[in-house]
Amino acid sequence: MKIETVNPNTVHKPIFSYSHAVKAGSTIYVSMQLPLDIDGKLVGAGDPTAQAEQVFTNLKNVLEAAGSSLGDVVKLTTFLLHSEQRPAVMEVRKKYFGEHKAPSVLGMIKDLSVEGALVQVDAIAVVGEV
Amino acid sequence: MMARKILEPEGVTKPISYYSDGMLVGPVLYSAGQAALGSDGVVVGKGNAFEQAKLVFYFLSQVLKEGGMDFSDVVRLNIYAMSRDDIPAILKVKDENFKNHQPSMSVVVIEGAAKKDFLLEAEFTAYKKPAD
Repeated sequence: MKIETVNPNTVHKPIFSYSHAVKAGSTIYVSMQLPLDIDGKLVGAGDPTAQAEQVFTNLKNVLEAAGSSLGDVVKLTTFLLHSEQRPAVMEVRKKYFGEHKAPSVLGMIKDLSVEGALVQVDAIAVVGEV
Repeated sequence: MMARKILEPEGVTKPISYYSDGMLVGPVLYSAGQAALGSDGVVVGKGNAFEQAKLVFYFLSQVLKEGGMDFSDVVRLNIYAMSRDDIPAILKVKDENFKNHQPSMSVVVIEGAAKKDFLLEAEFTAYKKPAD
């Protein structure tokens, strides 16, 4: 099985030592996606909608670089800091995923690895034949 | 059906509840979360994330070894820390173990793990390289 790392130039450089995604055969494991712009700067301080836009844009860009798309996501994990921001983030998620309803996990956590980040997602996608 | 094998390597503290350290399904290895618990049931490196991480990544290496793999086969790594301040120390140990291999990775900070003195928990998915 072919294993390849994916680090597109459409997304900021990884903030630690990791790859944005690893493609193992037809399965794509996407790393944590954060509300960071192409230069790695935090976007939308205090604004869950703006942060979610950036997070899902980054996820989309990573998947597309791996020859996949949001419609191939089979598992999505979303972490938030504040439960009251859930509706805002879900609204953005729906906008990006459209009718594709990926199995999802949502958790409220204590903190994220980037100060000021309110939302983080990671995903597993399967493209083509398994 | 693909062959399954339960992995409970020597040198890894026995699971503290009803789970296995790892399961090999065909070429894919799913690990349990590992934390810094000594075989005597005492948390190792209390208050010291760097010391705890060394034991955690040792345990993960033993699970990989039992499955005929090493860190270069890991495709996905998840790290749960209890404080953002501990992330650099944990990742230093991760980098020492993974060397130049860069898997996909997610890091989050949670309120607590199975025991109150655990400062991190880590788990992975790995794929065995095909035999030559």
